[in-house]
Amino acid sequence: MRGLYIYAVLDEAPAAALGTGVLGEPLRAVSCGTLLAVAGEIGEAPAPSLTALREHDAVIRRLADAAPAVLPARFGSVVADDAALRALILPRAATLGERLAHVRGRAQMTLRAYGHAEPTASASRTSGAAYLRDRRRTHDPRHALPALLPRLAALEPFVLDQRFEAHGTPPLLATVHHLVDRVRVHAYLDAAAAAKDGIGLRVTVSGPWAPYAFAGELPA
Amino acid sequence: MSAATPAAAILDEADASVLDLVDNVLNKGVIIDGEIIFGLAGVDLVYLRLSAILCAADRIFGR
Repeated sequence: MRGLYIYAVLDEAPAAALGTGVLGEPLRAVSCGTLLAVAGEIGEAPAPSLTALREHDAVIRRLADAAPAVLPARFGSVVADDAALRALILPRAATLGERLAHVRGRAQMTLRAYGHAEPTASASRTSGAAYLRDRRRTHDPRHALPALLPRLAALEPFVLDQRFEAHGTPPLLATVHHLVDRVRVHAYLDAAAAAKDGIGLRVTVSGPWAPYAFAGELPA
Repeated sequence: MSAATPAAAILDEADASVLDLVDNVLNKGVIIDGEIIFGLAGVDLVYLRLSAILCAADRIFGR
């Protein structure tokens, strides 16, 4: 198959060479109205090897170092050609522009909480009320993992946006993605190092990453 | 943290960074076109590791 592999959407040209992509292809910026997409022409679908995934992220990091606002695309996002890309991006430019504004000058930090399971999101979905309870637990740390709340409170001054997800898979109990100003990443890491967690909880911190968790779905 | 479960056994430092990379690049980011294309040869242990960590480990590894 031939196609145009998409790495990211930006709202200004990066101030550095684009380099090459996951298949070694030269990258270029495709202008889509006020936005631009960074893409490479490929002749085959890329296999998701660890090397290819690292290369995908390396491209996005390079762009994030050279432009203040980047919406990362998921690995394997391929369209037929420039025209197809514009047809997708142009009608959605306003929403994508808002998302870019939201992540401008910001990076993603990721917390992962490990420990022993508590019966939170149970298998019982026999009623609408039970379903809503499960949903709330999955996305609300106050219900899903109260042991994490002291750390979240310590980090709150640095957090511009948050995505919380409880997993039913001990020892990995939950993941939190935080959107943080790039200039405050070191202060965030200092606060994270000093934070205390509830008994039995171990929390790891990674980042800064490009704002993958804040890119959202392609708007309707 | 118990080391008895398969999921616990694979959560060392190297795997933790693999988890972050795979979760971001395969699970997040905006999908342009609503369709994700992979080469099938090569959906390998990397993806299986992520599935193992984020799904019930017993389902993946058996008992």
